[in-house]
Amino acid sequence: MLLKELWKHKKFSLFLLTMFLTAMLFINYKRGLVITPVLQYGMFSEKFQLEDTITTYQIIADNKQIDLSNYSFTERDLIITPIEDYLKQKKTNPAIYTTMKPFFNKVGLGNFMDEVKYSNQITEIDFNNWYKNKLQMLIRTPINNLEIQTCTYVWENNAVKQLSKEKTIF
Amino acid sequence: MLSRKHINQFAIFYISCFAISYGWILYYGLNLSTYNPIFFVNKLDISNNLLWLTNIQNTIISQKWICILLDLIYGLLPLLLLFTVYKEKKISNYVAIALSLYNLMYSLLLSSFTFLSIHMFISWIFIPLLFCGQKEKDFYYSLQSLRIIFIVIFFSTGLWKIVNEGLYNMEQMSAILFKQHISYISNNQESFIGSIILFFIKHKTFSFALYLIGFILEFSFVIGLFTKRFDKYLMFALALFIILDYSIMFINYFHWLVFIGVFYFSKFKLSEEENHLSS
Repeated sequence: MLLKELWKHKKFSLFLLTMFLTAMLFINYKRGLVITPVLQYGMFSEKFQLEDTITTYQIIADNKQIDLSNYSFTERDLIITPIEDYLKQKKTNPAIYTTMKPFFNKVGLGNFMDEVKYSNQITEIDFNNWYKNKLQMLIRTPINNLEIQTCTYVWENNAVKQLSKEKTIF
Repeated sequence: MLSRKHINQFAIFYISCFAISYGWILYYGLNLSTYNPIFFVNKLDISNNLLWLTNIQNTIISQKWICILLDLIYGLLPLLLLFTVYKEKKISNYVAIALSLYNLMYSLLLSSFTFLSIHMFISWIFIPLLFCGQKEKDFYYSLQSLRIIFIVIFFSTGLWKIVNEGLYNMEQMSAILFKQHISYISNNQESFIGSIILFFIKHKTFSFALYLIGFILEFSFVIGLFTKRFDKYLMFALALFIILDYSIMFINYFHWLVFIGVFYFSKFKLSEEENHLSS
């Protein structure tokens, strides 16, 4: 048995392996906080329903919608996810700071946890300019006018149905 | 019998896999200096939040040269490890630990600035640790330990599908595909890829069969906790899972292919002499 062999020949490896397995069990049991490289691997395990409303973005560059089918999987992620992440960080970064602060206080690191470090200082204009630059490089075309639309969809009668479409205001 | 030759072969295999992974990151401009991040997304991760105490995230955003330096170290440190392993230098222990910790930091940064998931980077955090220690015995036991760690990780992905009840939901995969590919199918339903995606969303039984195959591939790893007899099938299962994940979900987990090497090289036994010396 491996554990017995490690005990006999390499106690340090046994220590690391036991630590990892214990931490993995604890983190998976508690659910929520993780400590990389000990992670939860529950991707796509929770129930998904077809009637769920899904939100995505359409990018309009100089009055023309960007056709995502012209780009690779990774390029599509590069086009869509910065918008999702930018909107997400506005809510999650302050919320995670509030959650982590008591924990860091307990271990004596709370004084070093300056809120400025844990939040982004960029403005909407900064993001727009940065994203426009990224997009120009990806589609290899200069963009003068950029518009992002938030669209919601649902699966209805065996087809994709658009529920709403509105201009995204960051 | 496990020999020095096998350790060197694994080191070459690791560097080749890493080169492909980093090449992919560089090609798509996902490395720090090309991506040029201006904001980060925090996560409920103690490691991430400890790293933020150093304020490295804001330094990266404001100082381009830091990004270039971090990218360079990320690409060159594995080569240093390869050199020290080949030359059997004692310093390889420290290089291996430094590389593992550095990759941990770089992965945390990249997954906070870009869409890349932290999960895909675990290979580059764990694999360098195999090269801690000079003797065949050190490599052997580290390899066996990492084999168990990866089995637990991969098996847990299957277990979560039972615990969170995704496995009991017949429309699970249809709904996942709808969510995963909505930005594509909302405008490209007539295209070849669009029509395939729509076919699987419409036909819940077919798509659920794919989900079930994924689950079986993940869950089957539990056998590896009890015997090494089926390791060659587990290698195949891992490769198949990664290919299916890329083809159906458009998710790139090729960074985990290096774990195939862990299963392949763990079949070599320690020589009697090594065993005797370590007793």
